[in-house]
Amino acid sequence: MSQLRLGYPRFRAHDAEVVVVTATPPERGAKYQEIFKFEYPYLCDPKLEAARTFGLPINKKSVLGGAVTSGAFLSGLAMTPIQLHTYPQPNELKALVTGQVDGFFVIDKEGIVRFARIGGGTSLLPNNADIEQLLSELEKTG
Amino acid sequence: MEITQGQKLEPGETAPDFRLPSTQGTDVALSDFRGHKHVVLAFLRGMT
Repeated sequence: MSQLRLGYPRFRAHDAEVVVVTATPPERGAKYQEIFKFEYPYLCDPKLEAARTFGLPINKKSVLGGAVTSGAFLSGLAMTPIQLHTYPQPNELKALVTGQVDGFFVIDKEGIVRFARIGGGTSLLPNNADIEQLLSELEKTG
Repeated sequence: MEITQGQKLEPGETAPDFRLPSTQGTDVALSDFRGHKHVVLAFLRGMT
């Protein structure tokens, strides 16, 4: 999520907060906090409840669902449950670095969705200039 | 593992609220920002 991190000061200048949702269990999320020192909220949604309510494609074939499956697979093969919930996972670290997302939304102060894109990959994320432009337009329209 | 997909959200719709634990150790709800902050919301890929 380096792209959002880079844009964060400018987004804040437009009265916006960045919120990132991951399926990381809170125990491991605390480790990520130590490593990456997130400035904005990184939320832990291991049951995928928020992802589901936002209409993200979650099943065996999706990247997100596949990651959950692979986590269960790893726990049965080589890692104890404590390890699984404590140590960073390679796919998570890759996502944190590359900024790959399954869903991206801009929500205004009234809680209305103003931009929605669901899918996968780095191309899902608009560039920071476009995000800033949208936030600027929201300021003008109140 | 099979989790059903919710209805796809479109611009103009009200965002559903959620409350989740953060990596900073506090719970955060989407509605916490309502009335004073726009929200740039990203669901991170490849999560376990």
